[in-house]
Amino acid sequence: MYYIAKRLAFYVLAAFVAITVNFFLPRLTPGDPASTIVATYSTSLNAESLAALKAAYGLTDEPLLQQYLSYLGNVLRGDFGRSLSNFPAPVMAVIGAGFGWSILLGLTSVLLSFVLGSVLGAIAAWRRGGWFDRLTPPVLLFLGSFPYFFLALLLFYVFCFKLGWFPMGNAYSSVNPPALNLAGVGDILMHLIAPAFTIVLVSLGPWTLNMRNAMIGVLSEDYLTLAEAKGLQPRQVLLSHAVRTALLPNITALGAAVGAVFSGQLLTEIVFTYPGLGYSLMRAVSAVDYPLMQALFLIITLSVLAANFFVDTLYVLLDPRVRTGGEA
Amino acid sequence: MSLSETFGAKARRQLLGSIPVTVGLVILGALVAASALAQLVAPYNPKRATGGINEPPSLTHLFGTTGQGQDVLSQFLYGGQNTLWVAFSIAVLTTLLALIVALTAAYFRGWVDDLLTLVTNVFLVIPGLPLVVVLAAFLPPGPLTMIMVLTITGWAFGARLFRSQALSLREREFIAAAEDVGESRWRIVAIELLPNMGSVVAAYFVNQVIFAITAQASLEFLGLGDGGQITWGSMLFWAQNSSALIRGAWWTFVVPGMAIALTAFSLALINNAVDEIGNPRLRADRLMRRAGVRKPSATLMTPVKRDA
Amino acid sequence: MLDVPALDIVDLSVGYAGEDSIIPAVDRVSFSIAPGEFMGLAGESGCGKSTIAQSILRLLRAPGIITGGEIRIAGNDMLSEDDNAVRALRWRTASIVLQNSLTSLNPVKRIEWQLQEALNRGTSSVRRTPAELLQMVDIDPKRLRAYPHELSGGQRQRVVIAMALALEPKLIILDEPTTALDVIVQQEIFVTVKALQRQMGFAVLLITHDLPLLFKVADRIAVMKDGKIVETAPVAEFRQHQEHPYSRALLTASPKVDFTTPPVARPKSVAHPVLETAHLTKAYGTNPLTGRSALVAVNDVSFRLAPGEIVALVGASGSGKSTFGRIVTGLTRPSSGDVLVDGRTPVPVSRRRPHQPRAAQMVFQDVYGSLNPLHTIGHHLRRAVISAPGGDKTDVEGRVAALLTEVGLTPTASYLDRRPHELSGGQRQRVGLARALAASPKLLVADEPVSMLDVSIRRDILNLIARLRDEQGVAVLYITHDVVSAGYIADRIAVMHRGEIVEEGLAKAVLANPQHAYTRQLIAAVPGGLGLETSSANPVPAS
Repeated sequence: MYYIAKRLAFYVLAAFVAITVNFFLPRLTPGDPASTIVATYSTSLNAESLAALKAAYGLTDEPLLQQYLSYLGNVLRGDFGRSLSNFPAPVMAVIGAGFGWSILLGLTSVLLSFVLGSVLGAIAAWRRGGWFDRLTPPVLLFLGSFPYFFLALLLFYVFCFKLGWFPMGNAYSSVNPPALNLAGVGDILMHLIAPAFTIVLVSLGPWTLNMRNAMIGVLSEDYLTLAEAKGLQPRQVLLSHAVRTALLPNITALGAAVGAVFSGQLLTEIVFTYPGLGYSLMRAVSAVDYPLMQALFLIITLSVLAANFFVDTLYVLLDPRVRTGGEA
Repeated sequence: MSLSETFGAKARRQLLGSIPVTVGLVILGALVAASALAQLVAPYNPKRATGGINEPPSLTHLFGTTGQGQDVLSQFLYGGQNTLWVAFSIAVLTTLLALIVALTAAYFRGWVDDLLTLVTNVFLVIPGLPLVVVLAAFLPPGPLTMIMVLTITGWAFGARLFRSQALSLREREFIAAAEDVGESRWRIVAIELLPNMGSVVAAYFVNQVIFAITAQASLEFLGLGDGGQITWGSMLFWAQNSSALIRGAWWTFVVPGMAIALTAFSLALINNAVDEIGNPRLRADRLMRRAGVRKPSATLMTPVKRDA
Repeated sequence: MLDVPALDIVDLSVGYAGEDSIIPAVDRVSFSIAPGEFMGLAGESGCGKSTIAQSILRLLRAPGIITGGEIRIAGNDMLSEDDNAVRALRWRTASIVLQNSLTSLNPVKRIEWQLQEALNRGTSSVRRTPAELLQMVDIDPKRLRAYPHELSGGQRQRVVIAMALALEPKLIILDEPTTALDVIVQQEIFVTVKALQRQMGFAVLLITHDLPLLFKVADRIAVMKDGKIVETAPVAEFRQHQEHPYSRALLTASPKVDFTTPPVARPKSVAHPVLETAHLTKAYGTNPLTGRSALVAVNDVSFRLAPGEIVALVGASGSGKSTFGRIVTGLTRPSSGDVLVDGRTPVPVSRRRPHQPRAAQMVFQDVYGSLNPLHTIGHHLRRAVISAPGGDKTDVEGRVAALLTEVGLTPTASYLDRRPHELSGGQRQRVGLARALAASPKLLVADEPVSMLDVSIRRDILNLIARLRDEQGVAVLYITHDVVSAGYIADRIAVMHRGEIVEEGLAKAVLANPQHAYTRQLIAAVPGGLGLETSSANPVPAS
């Protein structure tokens, strides 16, 4: 439990750093971007929005510390400011539903690629030197070399546009989200498949190769020799000894991967016009909506931190050495 | 494990003889050479409209033309130049930054190490793209911003990797022996420690080039690059902007996209092959195959081969 | 049934696949072990003894290949059967205990689960339980729920032995099972194994480099060299007379304490000791509030070493002896207390500058790790000479050549451009000694300088250290776990236990007449004893 408390403290600290960076970035970047932004908007915004914008970037007479403290208070209350492109809607309202869709897509694709990659890696290591083992790494490296958005474009073009197997964009067919009955869930799944497939394809490589290398390492351990010496069936050796321990490094990597996959996911969402956070991000970038951008950064960071904490907790359950050792 | 420990002359020969390495080197060499010679070999000015709109590949325009009538081949060549030097600079800078942080942490230990490790870990868990987007949005677009932003967000994993490598090397007795003999601190780091990290640093550097190329393209695709600069990423951005796919102009996508993917793939192939050849466990498998022993699975059962 | 040997090996050949051909490692070896017999297979590293041990159950890893011969365990052919049949024979007919107890148990499974897994392979209706197995090897069954990392090295090895006995096999293969453990723990484990053997009647094949250990536990002994068995004989016979010259060399190579000459006290110039410590303490993980420490490695040690004296600091691993050595050379800083080397406090490495005078230099244990694999021997020695006091003014090449000559590496020119991996272990340790001598120190701190070397070259290195003392007058602090080598080389012995020096005196006096209980335990654990009447006539006590 000491270990978990330590990790929790670390994530709280990381969140605090992210929040602080977010506050100081527009204020301390060289070239005074805040004034530039305000100047750009001074003609297009009404007086009310302009005042809000100035307040958001510290172009007021308030001392910096005061601004910082009230900003911290706002963040704690879940108030991330107001969107410029949809003024005066709070950014949280703009992001709103997108958050849920992103989580759905993210969880689906990370879990799928983790499970699939671990299985493929374990098979490749077990049948080492066979055709599967020799073919898998180059193919996966090739798929992993595509930027997420490019593979997304290709798949979109082929499967959604040319072949019409999957719907072109959005997360559901009707105007409003469907009810959670059989047809509704099926509709959501149909919209989920193409973007999730893209993410799985690109991110599968590292999972597979890491699992394969971890397995190859574990297979040469003394306790595997002993397991074989005991005369266990190959299936037992593979499942209860090799895979179980080889999974551990992959689970550690899961935390780090959540952040990276999320980054790629945002771009994939844009290509498939999937209504998640990536879509909001695209809108923020093209409308130069800074508060929205910053809020997205914070929300995504906090979700990734939460995911990391979850993975750490999971790890503690799986590796007894961490439970008692207490080292990171 | 150091380069020379892992790679004797024999292994080096093996490396050059392996198919993935050859394939990787040929692809990479072709792409780099073509980009480097863009000024000489490009048929047209990449920024000018030299043909019709979205012309498919033909003899006059080998890779077709864009939605603005520019020659895709010339854009690909010049774009390669801009893309590759930025990616290379980012890889050099992140590797250097990671090395400096890691060696400082590993050498001084104590609170310096604790602090640097904490900073590294914070950078590691903060997701890259959203931070990059926010950073890039506040800075004037251009290659220097790109280099700066991706360097700031891209070094942390390397620092962690190098630190653990340096720490395990520090535990080796030859470092203690050098200290005992009275060698100076920085000599120990530079002469005794750093050369032994060669292969790890090289592998990381190659991965960083891959990271930089894809991250750069992603940012430009989002519209956070300098739209006036021709890079592979901006080619994709303009193609997307002019709805080229819907109009069936696949060549405006496929050329820059494949350029990015092939560069990354060739580097990944080389890295992976080096890794495989350096892995003593896989080496044992190779020797077994050479001796004519094949096994269907990794079960431990020493083969019996009486005719040998 | 009684006539079927527990293990019968005929003309066994094993090789390792190389780039061009299969390189032989074991060459037509034959031997057999009778039911209930304790057989020892001895030899130096690389002689092929472990290759045989792992081939018996077909556990030798790639690139190992069995190239000919027969292996039968209790009459069952291990080589010609198909894989499933061999797998069925494993553990039921013979089991194996591997060298490294830390890595031979699955780190993420409880002991109980791992014992049960072995028991599940059994066919008989009468089954033992994991708890019974633990009791057999004298571990409290309460530890069943423990994970491997929660047990000590000795306990883990006991768990593996318990596991090995789970199916009551005819043969147990012990592949250097105690090399990583302390002498006292080693002795306790073999007492247990012998007792269980008497009770259950299994045969044992013990692989080891330690001949004295075999004298104590084995019935019969086989000596291996370069992939061949050069001699097989009952232990009693072998002790009296060795047929093969190599066996004789192996036996005489291990250092022995010469008790025929009376202990001579060197004249101690107490006024000017080369090393003096007062109330030296090193604690780790000290809590600043309570002042309590997680570990006190060195506890209030006051110690003196005269110029030109060799003193052995003897203790088990974790006794604090290495920490003490590192404090003396300045590699570690003490928590409290004073150290004076040649009248000065050692300069901590972090504040050390080139050319500073250094009275103490270190000789390291790990002959593979203490030389940088990337640099030549010449580089190592040149750097040491240049960094030495006045090193910027000396004739560097001449000094390097002189150092190499002193440690017996001639012709010196042929060593300068070689890298560490091109040298043998013994040669590397000579380079280590030459490097330590570069600064003409008054004191050498040698931390287990021979424990990683083969038996046959240990004595050479110890003799070299003694010669350097005689010729150059350098004092030596010889840190070791090995009482015998301490008695062989040292003038005085200090015994360290849990961070404290519990006994100190003239070497032979301490060994012949130990005062402290721990010293007695340490000496009693030496396989084969010290060559004194009392200990050599004292075989393993029955329990």
